[in-house]
Parts: sequence; C-alpha cells; structure tokens
Amino acid sequence: MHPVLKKYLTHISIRRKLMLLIMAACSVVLLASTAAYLLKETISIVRAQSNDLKSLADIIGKNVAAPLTFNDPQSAMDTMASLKVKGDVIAAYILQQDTTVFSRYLATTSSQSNLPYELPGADYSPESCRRILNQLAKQSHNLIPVNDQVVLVAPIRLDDQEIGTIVLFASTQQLKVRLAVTLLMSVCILCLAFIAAYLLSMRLQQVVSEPIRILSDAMRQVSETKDFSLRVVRPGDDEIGQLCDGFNEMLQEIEERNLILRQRQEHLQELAHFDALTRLPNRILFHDRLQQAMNLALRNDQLIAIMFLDLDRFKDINDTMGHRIGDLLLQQVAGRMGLALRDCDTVARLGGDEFTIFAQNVKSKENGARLAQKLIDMFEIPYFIEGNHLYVTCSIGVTFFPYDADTMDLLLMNADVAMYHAKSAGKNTYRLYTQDMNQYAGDRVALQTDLRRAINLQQLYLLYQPKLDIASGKITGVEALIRWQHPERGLISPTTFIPLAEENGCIQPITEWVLRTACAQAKRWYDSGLTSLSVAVNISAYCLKRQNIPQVVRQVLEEAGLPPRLLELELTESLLVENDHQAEQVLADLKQIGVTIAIDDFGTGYSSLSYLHHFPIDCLKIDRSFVWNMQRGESDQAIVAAIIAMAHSLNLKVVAEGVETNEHLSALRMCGCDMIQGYLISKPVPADDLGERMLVGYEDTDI
Amino acid sequence: MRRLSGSSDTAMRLTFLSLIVFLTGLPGMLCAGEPPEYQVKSAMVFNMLKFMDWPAEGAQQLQLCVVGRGPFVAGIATLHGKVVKGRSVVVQQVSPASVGGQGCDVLVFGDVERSTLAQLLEQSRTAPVVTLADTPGFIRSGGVVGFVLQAGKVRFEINQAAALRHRIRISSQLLKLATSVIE
Repeated sequence: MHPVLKKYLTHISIRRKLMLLIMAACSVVLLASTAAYLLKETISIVRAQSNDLKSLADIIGKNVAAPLTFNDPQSAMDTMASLKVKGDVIAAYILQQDTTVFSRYLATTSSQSNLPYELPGADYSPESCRRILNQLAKQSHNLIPVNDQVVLVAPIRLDDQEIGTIVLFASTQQLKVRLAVTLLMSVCILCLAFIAAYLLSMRLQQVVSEPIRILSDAMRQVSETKDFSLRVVRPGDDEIGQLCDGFNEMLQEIEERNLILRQRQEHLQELAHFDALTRLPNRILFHDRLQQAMNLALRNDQLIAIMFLDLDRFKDINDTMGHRIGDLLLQQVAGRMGLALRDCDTVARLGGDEFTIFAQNVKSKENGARLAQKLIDMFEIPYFIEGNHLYVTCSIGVTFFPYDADTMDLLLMNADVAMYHAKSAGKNTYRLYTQDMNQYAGDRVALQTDLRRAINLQQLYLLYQPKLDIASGKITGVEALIRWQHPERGLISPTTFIPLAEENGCIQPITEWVLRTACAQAKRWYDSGLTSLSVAVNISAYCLKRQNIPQVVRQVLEEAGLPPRLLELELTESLLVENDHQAEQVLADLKQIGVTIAIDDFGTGYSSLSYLHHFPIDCLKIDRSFVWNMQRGESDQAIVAAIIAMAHSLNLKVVAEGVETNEHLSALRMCGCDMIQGYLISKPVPADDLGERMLVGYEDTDI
Repeated sequence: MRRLSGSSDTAMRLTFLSLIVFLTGLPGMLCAGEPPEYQVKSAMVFNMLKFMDWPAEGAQQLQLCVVGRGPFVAGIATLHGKVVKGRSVVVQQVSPASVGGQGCDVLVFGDVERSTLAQLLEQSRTAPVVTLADTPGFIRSGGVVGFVLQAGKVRFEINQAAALRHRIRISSQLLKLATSVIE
C-alpha cells in the first residue's frame, strides 16, 4: 500500500474507514458487474447485428438466386430494393460466380466513400472485383467494425451449388447508438447503486462505529473530567459490548482503587499530622497551628499561652505496670485534656509523656495561669485502667506570646524550661516562664553532657548514712547515697541528676558504679572487723526493668568478696504491682543470691499493701513524711503503727527514715519500730568519718 | 460428405467452364461471343428445373423426355447425366406414341405437329410432368413453359394454371422472371 494512502487510512476515523470499506467493496462489485454486463451487452448487440445481417443475406441470396441464374439484374435490384426498410444496411452487392458485380443496392443516405466498389478507381473488372472480394472476405467475420461499418460476405447457393456471392455493408451507427444507450443506462444505474450503497453504508457503519464513538467519547470525558464514576451503556453482546464491559470494569477498578488511594492519603495525612496513640495533633501540626495562631495574634494584638505539660513519674508507671498501661494512660490523659480546653485551643503530643498546649486570646497572664491550674486539677481524679486506680500528677511550664519570645522555637524552649522549674519545685504544679529561668535551661543540657563523663572523672562519690537498731542501740547498717561534685557548680543533688541520668541512659553505669563502690567499702569494713555492718544501695525502678540487676549484683559481690547478706537493695514501692511477674522473678533471683531487699519510701506510692506477701521482702522503710507528720496528728501516728504492725506480722523489719528529733524516736519506739535513720543519728557522711564514729560508738547519742 | 460434395462442385464448375470455353471457342458460329440459341435454351431448361418441385421427389432420376427433333431439343442431350436437386437427369428421345409409358418428369417438345402436340398435352393433362416447348403460343395451348425471343434475348413464359394441373410447384422467383404468366 502506498505510504500516503496508508497514513491517510490510519488517521481517519473508524466511521470513515468503515464507509470506505463498504464503498470500496460496493464499487468493486458494481463496477465489475457493470463491466461484465456492458461486455455481454456489447457482444450480444454486435452478434445480433451480425446475425441480422446473416439472415438478411440468406433471404436476399435466396431471392436473387433466380435472377442471377437467369441473368436478370433488374429483377435482382427489385428484390434488393426491399433493403430500404433496413436502416443500417448501407449497400448490398450481388456478385456473379466470377466475382463481377451482377447487381447492387445503395442506401440513399449512406456515404459511399467507404465502399470499395464505389471508389473512383473501381472499374468492375474481374481482377479488381476478385481483389476487393478477397479483401472483404477477410473483414466479413470480424465483429469489430471498420470505418463505422461491418461487412458480410455470404455465398448465394442454389441447389447446393454456389452460384454467386452477396456482399452486405451495414452501418454501425445504430449499433453505436444502442451501445451508448446501454452504457448510459448502466452508468445511471451504477450511480443510483452508488448513492444507495453510500446511504446504506452510512446507516450500516453506524451499527459498528456508533458504539465505538460512544465508548471513545466516554473515555475522553473520563480522561478530561477524571470522573471515574462514569459508565457506558452496553450496546449489545458483540465484541464492542465486551469492550464496554471491560471498560466499565476498568473504571470500576480505577474508582475503587482511587477510593482506597484517597483513604490511604487521608490516613497518611493523619499519620503525618496526628499522633497515632492519642489522636492528638503531632509536633508538625502543632507547629503549623501555632504559627498561624501567632500570625493572627500579632495582627489582633492578642495573647497566646503556650504550655509544656509533662506527667510526673510516668516513667515509673511505664516501668512498673508496663508500656501498655502507660499507653492507655496517655490516651485517657489526652481525652481529659480535650475536655478541659476550648475548641480554639490546641493540645499536641510531642512524644513520650510530653504534651504541648497553646491557648489563643487568653487576655491576661492570670488567665493562662488559671488554665494551667485547671489542667493540674484535672489530674486529681485517679485514672482507672484495667482494674488499677492510677494517681498521676503533672508539671506544667507556661510561656506567653508575644511577651516572652517571638519565635516558636524560643517559646517552646521557654515552656520546657518553665516546666522543669515546676518539676524542680516538687512537681504537680506549674510555673510561668521568667527570663532568669534561661540560665537553668542551659544547665540541664550541659549537666547531662557532664554527667556522662562524671564517672570517669571521679566526680561521683558516696556518702553513707547509718541506720540504728533501736533495741540494741547499735549501728547495724548504712545507706549509700550518691553525690556529684561538679567542678564548676559544686555539689549537685541526686534528685536533680538522677532524672537526668535516667533521661539519657547513663543511670545504668552509675548504678553499677554505686554497687561496686559500696560493696568494696563494705568489704573494707568487714575486713576491719565490722562483720555485721550492711550496706544499702538504691536501685531505681528504671534500672530494675532494663538492667539484669541480679547478674550485676552477683558479679559485684564476687569481685568484692562480700558476703551477700551484707548488701541490702532498696527498691521503690511502685514495683509491688499485682501480676508483675518480671519484678517477682527479679526479686526471687536477688533473694536467692542472699541479698536483703528493702522497700524504700514506703507509703507514698500505690496502694500495694495487699501484695507485700507476694514478694520476698525483708524490710520496709517508712517515708520521712509519715515520720514528720506523726507529731501533727494522731491519725498519722496510727498509720505508722499500723504499717509497723502489719510489717511485723509479715516478718518484715521496719526502718523509719528522716528521724530528726528525740520525739520522733520515742514515738517510733512506742510503735515498735525496729530501726531508725536520720539526722538524729547522723547525716550522710564519707566512709572514713563513719568508720571512726563506728569505732567510738554512739554513746554520745541520747538513746 | 462435405469434401465429396465440394469436389463434385469443383468438378462441375470445371465441366461448366470447359463447356463455356468450348462453346466460346467455336469459331464463326452465329454471333460472335454469344452461345448458340439452343445452348442458351438447354441451359435455361436445366436451370428452370431447379425452381420446380414435383409431387413425388423420391425418384433417383429425373426423366427428361424429348419428343420430336429440331434446334430447340438439339442441346438437351447435353443435360444427360447432370444432377438437379440430387436427381440425375436422364435424357431420352421418345416417340409421341410412347410418351405415356415412359414416366417422364419433363417433356420437351421439338418440332412436333400441332395436332400431335395437342394430343400429347391432352394425354398428359394431369400427369406430374412439366411440358416445355419454344413454339409460339405453347402455353396457351396447355403447355407449362414456353420459350420466346424478346428483343433478341431468350425469355420464357409460364402457364401457372397448367403447372398446378400437373401438380408442379414453380418457384415464385421463376414466375417473377417470366415474361408472362397464365394464372
């Protein structure tokens, strides 16, 4: 196929292609049949004339046989005169046996220029006659006319003998007219057939092209509007119908996938902007909203309160009750905060137990402070999670835009700093940010850095506070207390740096260091003759959860060569939670090593008294707050008495902490307390000082 | 068959040509170039037979009986052996007395006495026979074909009624060429 034609065919619409196809097929059939018809018609017309002439020659031959025989040309001419009615006969000649012309007939209308017998040079001599006859005889059976005439040469017979020849000249004029008429009719019919074929193909091609067009239009519409809910109507059961089905199914599929995609996008959007656990906005969304709120506040001259909220002792809850409980708690906290805040306020979870809140248009700092207090108050009601009542408090730092800072980063840092101040101030409170807090904020980060190097730089050391057995009046043990001598800041309290250590993970080497140092000291005392002096070390719940404490203890005792009974481990009350099999197992392992286990700060934490008997505990240490309150009211004294009685019934020793006065001592003695610890006996002192005191005894004390 | 008839055609044509050559070759006879009148007449007789039909055509031979003598019948003998419509011509001289028993198809009269002629015509009045003569008034006396001279050319006249009586069918072409026809 010609490249141009091919290109044209590939570019035209299916509608056109189909029409072309139908028309081409029709054309071939029509033209072929017309050509065949014309050919047949032409042949039959020519044949008809030829036959006509033959029969004419036959009749004339018969009728001129006698005149020829009897040499009567006139009679022959009379006979031939009847040819006048035959319009197409131009001339007729009767030739004698010797080919000379016997008689002739000439139609009056015909031109004689093409008749060889009538040519000027014709002389009718026998030679020329024979020559002409021979020439004509050749043309005679030729159906193709020469010079618009056909010639027929036929013998004249009489009684089976050839007595002469008849030569007929016929004009092909009429034949041509008939052919022309036939041709014209054919062309007319052809044209009509073409028109009919065209109209028919227009209708026929629609059967195929219309559904395709509809499909194509639908596709275009879909691709333009992206409306995948569109469907095409199935035109029938043929391939196009199947195509439509496929198209619809495809659209269905795309629509469904689109829906899923949109849902996933929304989900991703949520993941990107919301905290998965609490469904609160995350840091990104919070920043975004806060930025907008700041822009709005600047324009409208409004005040925004930005708060940093941190749950107190959340780590303990996580460590002792498991992360699942911790997560559930966070969810409930988030839920409550949502109730406490206005719609225009935003609360976000930055991670862990840290929440950030901003409240727009708070009007005054007092309002901000009021809101912080409201949030703190919200925690008064205990959280009930899986059968546990959890008492949680929080510390909040508050800062104000645009007073305290004009950038978001600074504001959040300020709130964070204020929050740590609230923590330092004893937790369960809030602090408004002030300029001088910045100093402290810098400290925290610097301190954490310093703390990492403190062990190696030997900035940590232990002080020992003795415990006195009331009945014998003898020092039976000491509690090792860690101190940090910072080269620039001086002495730093463990209440300050232990949380920092837990935060950055260096609590673990610190715990190991304390254990090792205390055991080594106890061994020295043991070797110097104080064979019953025990050393108590505080192990934080954080470490108990994460470190293999029994393994560490076993190793340290081995290294120091100290009898295990001389090591006492002080653990926080929060460990004593029902079904905490891990804690139970750890305590059992420790008990097996042979160390003594004491519960520190007893009475401040959870209501876990009922589970005391589950754990292999040797000693309870009553929190100082009970001791101090004993003198204020009867009730506290009764509590202390009850605790001691209960402990004794469980075969536990009781140590009272924070004993500072003789009144404390006498009250505790009355309650049946076993041991006391506090400034009344001694403040925490270096090991060396204690050794001397130990040797001289405590006779000077007023026991 | 065709080849046979074709060869017989050629043979006949040769005979005819040689005859013409022979005839024209005759020196100083009558008018120069023209054949003698009797020859023309005998040729015409022969040709005429081609335009005539007898009621019974079954016979192999065409009996051509000549009665009497004279210039007219002198050339007739040459027709002997020729074939007309598949029948070979048999020329025989018959006496007036034996005409009836010869089964003649054609009866050519030469110089015959008028009474004898009338008698013979009367005798063969209804027989399937064609009677020919060149005596003037022949057809008016009951003959079928009579030769006449007209403007120096030999012509003929026909008694169609007599032919019908003899049950001889004469071609209309021949009738057309006749100078006169008695219906």
